[in-house]
Amino acid sequence: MFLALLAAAVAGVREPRAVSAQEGGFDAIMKEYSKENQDLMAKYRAEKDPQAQAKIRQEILGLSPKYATRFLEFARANPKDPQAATALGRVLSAARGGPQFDEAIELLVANHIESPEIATVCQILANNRDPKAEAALVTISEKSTNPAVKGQALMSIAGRLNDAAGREGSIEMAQKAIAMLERVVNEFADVAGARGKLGDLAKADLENVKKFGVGQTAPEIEGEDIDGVAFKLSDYRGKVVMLDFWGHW
Amino acid sequence: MYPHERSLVQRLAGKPFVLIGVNSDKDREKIKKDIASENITWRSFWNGEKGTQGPISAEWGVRGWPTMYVLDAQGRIRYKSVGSPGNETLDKWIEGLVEEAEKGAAGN
Repeated sequence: MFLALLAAAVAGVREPRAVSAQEGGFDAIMKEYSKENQDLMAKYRAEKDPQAQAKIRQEILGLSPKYATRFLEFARANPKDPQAATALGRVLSAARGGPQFDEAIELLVANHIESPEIATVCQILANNRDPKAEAALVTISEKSTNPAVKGQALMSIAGRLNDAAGREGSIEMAQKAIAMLERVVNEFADVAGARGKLGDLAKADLENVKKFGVGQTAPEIEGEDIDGVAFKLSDYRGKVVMLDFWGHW
Repeated sequence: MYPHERSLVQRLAGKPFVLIGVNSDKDREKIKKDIASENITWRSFWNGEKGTQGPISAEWGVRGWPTMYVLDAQGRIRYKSVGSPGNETLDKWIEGLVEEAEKGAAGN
């Protein structure tokens, strides 16, 4: 849905799309994929035996990698087709590193660097911890001249840096994330992203990293425990604190 | 997760370490019972009746459960993970900071 809207919004700057046999090819793969997915889901719901269910679950999980091969073939055979960008996005979300991932990035950068659909690909790459995903985002942010793509690539790099800062305990990475977000606020504020204007999203993230990022003094929490007794986070100053946001569900 | 949290709390008893939860269950009476039955010995803030939409998690910008922050003895945020980082990693973070805190205390 988002893709359709985004495509419509920038239709003016895109080359007119010729309906080709190749495009039918992409749609045919998508249709086949959806059908196989739906069939397996129905089978899963109808199955009572947990062991058989687990097996079907594995089959469902195996669908993305299985179709990644076909999407990659499509993009390889139709490098200039706009739908190849979408196909490559599917490859990247399934492949997560490995030779298919490398080839998909190569094709994307070579043929679709200005395609607005790469903005969605950047969001996919934001959640991929493979270092290659970061390298790809940097390449996209440097090479694309499309503000929607560039802005989203920077947002995704910042998100990855911030996550990595937390896991590595790195103040330096947190500072880099801040610099990246400030760039989005300064240069790409009015670009429309999936969840709103990039400037607004980046400002909210900035505020959070500056207050709750690695290296910051934790802001006070004043509240009540489960029994209604008031206490404060700072009551435990002098001790290492593991602050665990949890729920029993 | 509880077994590992329990073992952390037990293993580091007497050390400068504390586990503090921010519990985001909506039903306070039910979670009281769960805490007793699961033998959860550590203290938690209650995030209120709105559960995961409660004021503490909203203020901290927490969007995934569990999310954990590890603070050093000076109250600085040193590590953060959305989802468990894995027991070994968590132990390494905490033990490193506990050691740092003990050295710091000895130096004063």
